[in-house]
Amino acid sequence: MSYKGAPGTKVKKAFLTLVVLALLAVALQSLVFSGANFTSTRGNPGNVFTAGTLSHVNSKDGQVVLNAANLRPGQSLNGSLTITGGGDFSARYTISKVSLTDTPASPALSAALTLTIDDTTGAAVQEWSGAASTFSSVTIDTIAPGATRTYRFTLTYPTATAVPALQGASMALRLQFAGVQQ
Amino acid sequence: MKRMKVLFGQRRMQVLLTLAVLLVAVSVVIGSGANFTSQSANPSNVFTAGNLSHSNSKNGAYILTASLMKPGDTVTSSVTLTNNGDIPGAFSFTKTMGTNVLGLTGGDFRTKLDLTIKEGATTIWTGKIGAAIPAPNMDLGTWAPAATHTYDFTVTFPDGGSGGADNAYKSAAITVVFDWTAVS
Repeated sequence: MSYKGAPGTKVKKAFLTLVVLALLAVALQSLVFSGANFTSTRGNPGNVFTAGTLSHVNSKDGQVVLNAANLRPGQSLNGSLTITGGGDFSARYTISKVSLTDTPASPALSAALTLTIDDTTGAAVQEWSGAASTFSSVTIDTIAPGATRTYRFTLTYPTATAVPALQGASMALRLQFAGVQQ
Repeated sequence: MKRMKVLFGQRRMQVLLTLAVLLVAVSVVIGSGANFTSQSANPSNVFTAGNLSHSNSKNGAYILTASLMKPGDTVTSSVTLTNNGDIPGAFSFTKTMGTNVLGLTGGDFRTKLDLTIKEGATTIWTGKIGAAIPAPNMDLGTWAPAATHTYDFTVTFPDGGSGGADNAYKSAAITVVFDWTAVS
C-alpha cells in the first residue's frame, strides 16, 4: 500500500531513475568504445640491406720496401711488394706519398734520386717514374678480391745529379696503398 | 396441475430452444469477423557484411633488398596494393626495424641509409631508414573498392666522401619490415 508522496514511492522512483541512468551509461559506453571495424593487413618483411667490405693485404705492410744504404752515383736498388685484393669488391688502387724527409733538407737527396714504380705481375709495366721529390701519387690497377699484383720500386742515383754536397745525405719516403671500390 | 407442468415444461423447452438459437445467431453475428484486408510485404530485407581486404603485389616478401652495398649505391623497387574488398578502407603502413648489425667499426645503417617512398611524383615519406614515421602509422588515405596504388621504394647508401669516410659501415646490415593495414 503506497500513495503518491509516500516514502516507498520516492524510493521506487529513485531506484527507477538509477536503473535508467545505468542503462544510459551502458548505451553511451557502447557508442564511445565500440570501435568495431574490419581490418585487412599485409606485410613485406625481409627488406635486408647489407654493406659489403673492402680490404687488401700488403705483403710488406708497415715494413721497409727498399733500404738503399750507401747508394752511390750510378747505382740502382729495388724492392718489391705484393698487393692482394680482399673484401667483396674490386678496387682501384693508388700509391701515394705520405711523407718525404730529406736530411739535409738542402740539397735534397730526393731531388737527385729517380724513383720508378713498375707492375711486375707479368711483363713489367711502368706505373710511374721521375725524381723522387716530385712523386705525389699514382693510380695503378684495379684488383679483384683474391687477385694479386706485384710492384717493384727502384731508386736510381744518376751520376748526372750527383753533387759532393749529397755525400752522406739520406731520404725517407713513406708510401701508402689505398683502394676504392669499383 | 400436472398438465400445467407439462405445458410449462414444454414452454420452457421452447424458450430455451429459442434462446439457444438466438445465442447461435448472435454468436455468428459477433464471431464472424468478416472484413476486407489489404496486405503488402517487404521480404528479403537482407543484410550482408561488406568485405575489406587488399592485395599486395609482394605480400610476405621483401619489396627491395640489397647486398654488398657500397657508398653511392641505390636500389629501387615497387609494390602495388589494391583494395579488393567491396567497401572503402583507410589505408596506412608502418615501418619496423628488424635486425641491425653494425659495421666493422661501428657504423649504423639505421642512421646512414636514405629511404624514399613515392607514389608517382609525390613523395610519401623520405628520411633515414631508421627514423620513425609519423606515429602510429603513415596515413595513405581512404581507398574505394578496386583502387590501386603503386609505391616506389628507393634506398640509397650516401657517399660520405673520399678517403674511406664510410669505412665504418663496412659489413653493416639491417632488416626492415613494412606492414600495410586497411581499416573500414
